[in-house]
Amino acid sequence: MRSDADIKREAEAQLKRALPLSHALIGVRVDNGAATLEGAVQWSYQRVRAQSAVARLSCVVGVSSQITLSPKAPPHEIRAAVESAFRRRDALDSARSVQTPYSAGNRKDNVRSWAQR
Amino acid sequence: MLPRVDEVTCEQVAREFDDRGPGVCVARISGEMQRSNPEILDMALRCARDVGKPEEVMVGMCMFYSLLLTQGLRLPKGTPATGSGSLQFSLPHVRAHTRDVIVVQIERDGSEIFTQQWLSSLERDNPQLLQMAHLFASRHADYLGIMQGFVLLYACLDSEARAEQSRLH
Repeated sequence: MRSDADIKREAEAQLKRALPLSHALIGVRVDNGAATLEGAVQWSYQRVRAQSAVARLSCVVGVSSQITLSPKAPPHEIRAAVESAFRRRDALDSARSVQTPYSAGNRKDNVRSWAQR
Repeated sequence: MLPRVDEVTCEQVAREFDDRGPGVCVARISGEMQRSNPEILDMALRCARDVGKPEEVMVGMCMFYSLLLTQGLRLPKGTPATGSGSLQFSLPHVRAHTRDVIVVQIERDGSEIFTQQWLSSLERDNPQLLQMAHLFASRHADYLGIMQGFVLLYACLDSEARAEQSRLH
């Protein structure tokens, strides 16, 4: 009889084959051969494909899916995420410039350097 | 103008990446960029290299480009999208000059204002594309770096589309 850890590894490999892009959004728990899928995906086909892929494994005695569809992020949330990322970067840059005052590295200029030819 | 990406296209592109695998899709779309938009490919590669995990980040950059391209190909015939019909659709070819104009904008406004301005533009004109960018970037350590990469590609393509349109009129 195979251990739950073995079955979990096989289920994860099967998920990767079935969903090479989105498998990382799905987690697997195995208890006495029964698999539970967890996580949040964007599209319904990902949920369906994950469940049927794991159900095909002969070592799995049953599959329960707790995969949800991730809600859309409201625009104000995206804006807030970007703003707070800028503040974190500012704080990091200030800390770096205090520690190494002659450092030439400034990550704020990245987007400009990517745009330059 | 760039096509407005809808949910059907988002699911179609996600399925394609899950059916064929990200490696195959990145190779195909990078090849398409190399042929028709080498400036965009160069910027995407620089961004991917700088933010770390370049192979993973290129998946997002190629998905972003593919969404616009696929949406353009799905437009009904006669719909104006950079002046092309459905089967002949291609994204605007970003010129070196347009890239230079973008550099001047970033130097003038600073990278934060530049990013916020183009985020507003994405929010207004291409909300599904913004969702894709946010979801992809949220799964990576350098959220801001990746969002800035998406914004830069969008800024270049949109500016080029507008320049093409003004040349036609």
